[in-house]
Amino acid sequence: MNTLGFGLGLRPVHYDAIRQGRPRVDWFEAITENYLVPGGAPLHNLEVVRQDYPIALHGVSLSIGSTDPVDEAYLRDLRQLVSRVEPAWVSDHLCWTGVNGCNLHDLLPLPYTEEALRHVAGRVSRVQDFLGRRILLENVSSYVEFTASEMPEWEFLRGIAELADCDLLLDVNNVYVSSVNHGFEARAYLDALPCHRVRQIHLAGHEHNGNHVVDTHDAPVSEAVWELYRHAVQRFGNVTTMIERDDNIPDLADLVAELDIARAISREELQAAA
Amino acid sequence: MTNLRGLQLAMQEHVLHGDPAIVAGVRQACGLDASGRLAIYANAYTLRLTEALCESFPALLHVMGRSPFAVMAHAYVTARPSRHASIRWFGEHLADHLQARGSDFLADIARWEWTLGTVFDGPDAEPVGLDAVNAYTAGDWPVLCIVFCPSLQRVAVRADAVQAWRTAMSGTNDSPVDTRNATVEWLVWRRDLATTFRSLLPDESWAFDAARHGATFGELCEGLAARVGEESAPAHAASLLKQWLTDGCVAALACEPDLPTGPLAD
Repeated sequence: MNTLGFGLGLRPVHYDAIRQGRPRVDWFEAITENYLVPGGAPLHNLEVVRQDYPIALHGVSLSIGSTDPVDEAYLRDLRQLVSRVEPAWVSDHLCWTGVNGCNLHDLLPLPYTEEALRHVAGRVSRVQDFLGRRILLENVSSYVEFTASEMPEWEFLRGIAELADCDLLLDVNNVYVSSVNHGFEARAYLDALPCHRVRQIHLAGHEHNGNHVVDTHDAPVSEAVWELYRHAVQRFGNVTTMIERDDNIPDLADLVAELDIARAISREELQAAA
Repeated sequence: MTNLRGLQLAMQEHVLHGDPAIVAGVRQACGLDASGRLAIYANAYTLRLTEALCESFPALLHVMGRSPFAVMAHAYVTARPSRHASIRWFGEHLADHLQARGSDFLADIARWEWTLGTVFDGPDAEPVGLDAVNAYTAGDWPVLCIVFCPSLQRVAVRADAVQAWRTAMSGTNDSPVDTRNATVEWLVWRRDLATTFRSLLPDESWAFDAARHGATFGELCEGLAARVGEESAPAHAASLLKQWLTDGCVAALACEPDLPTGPLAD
C-alpha cells in the first residue's frame, strides 16, 4: 500500500511558513470544510500548497452515521473540491453530527449495534459510489457509550470497513482517550483492526481532567500516545502518519520537530521488525 | 432504524435543550457519571459555536467585550441552531438576530463583518482593466452591459459601525470618531485576494444596482440624466465605468442583452 510518509494538518497560520520555508513535511491534511467556499484566499492557498505537497482531504461534516438523508449538496461540493485538489484520499469520521437538518458541529458517537452497522455501511457505499473512490473512516474519541451497544467499538469499526469496503484512518490518540474514558485496553483495540484496512494514522494531544480525558488537539502528543503509536507501527507497519493540532498552534518548526519523533519511532519499529 | 433515530433525536435534544431522556441510555462506567459525560458534549457545543462567532466577528467581540459577547452568542446559538455543513456559515443570521433585538449599531457591525467575510471567500473572477473598452466601437456603447465580479457586494451600513470596525481592527482607540449614525452605501470587493471597500454616493449606488441588474450603458445614461442633467449624464456614466474598471470590480463587458446578473444586496 502506498504511503505518503509523515504529514501535518494544514492550518492557515502556517501558510506563509510553508511557502517561504518548504518545511520537511511529506504531505498535508486539509480540513475539507475549510475549503468548501466559492473562491478567494482559502482555495488559492490550498492550491499553492498542493503544487509542492500531496494533500489529503479530511472532513468533519459528512455525518455518515446520521439517520437524516445523506446531504447531497455537501457531497456535490465535496466531489467538486476533490476534482479541483486531486487529493491522495478523502477521509471523514465514523460518527454523526446532527439530525433534522441540524449540525451540532461535533463528532457524536454511535451505538455499536447491528442496526447502526448496516445503516452506516450502506451510506458509506453510497458515498463511495458517488465520489468514485474508496474513503477512509476515522474512529472518534468519545465520552459516552450507549446501553444499546451490542459489540465493542473496534468490532463495529471493523465490521463497517469490511461490509462497506472502505479504509480506516486510525486515530491513535482517540483510541487512547476513549480507552481511559470507557476503561478498555487500548492495545486490544488496535490488535482487533484489520491491517489491510488501516491506511492512515492520526496523532494529537489531549487533556487529562482527573476522571476523564478530553480530545483537545491543543498540546503535544503525550508519552502514552507515543507508546501506543509504537504498538500501531508494530502491528500495521509503514502507514502514512500525521499530527493534528487545532488549538494553541505553535510555530511550524515545532510541529516539524514533533513529527521527527513519529519518524524515529516508526524507523525503530520497522528496523526491529525487518 | 427506529432505535438509532430515536437515540440520535434524544442526544440532540440533550445537547440543544438539556432534555434528560438520553441519560438513561448512557452506560455507567468508570469515572464520570452519565450526566457528566453528556455535559461534555453540551458544553462543547456552546463553546465551539461561540468560538466560531468570535472568529467571524472580531470587531463585534472587541466592541461588546468578551463577557457580553458570550451572553449574546449563547442567545444566538439557542435561537439559531446551525444548519450548515461548515461552521464558517454559522454567523449568517447574526446581524438580523441583533437587529430584531433593537441593537442597530451592533447589527450593522455584524452585517459589515459578515459582508467582508463573504467577499473574502466569494467566487473567483479575473477582473478586466480599462483597455477592455477598446474592443467596442462608439455604436456599441448604448447596448454595452457590465458584468461585475461575482464576489463584489453593495451593502448599507451605518458609518459609525464601519468606524468602530476600523478602530477595533487597528487595535487602537485613537482613530477619529465618526459619530454619524446615518446609513451609508458601501461597495465591497476583492483586489487580488485582499478585501477592499469604499463608500458610494447616491448616483453611483443607483447606477451600480441598475448595471448589476442588466441595464445597458445607454440606460445608465438615461437614468443618470434625471439626477445630474442630460448633458452631464454620459460623461458621468463613463466616469463611473472607468472607476469600476480601475478598481478591479468588472469581470467583463459585453453587448449581449441576456448577461447573467448577480444578486442585489440590500
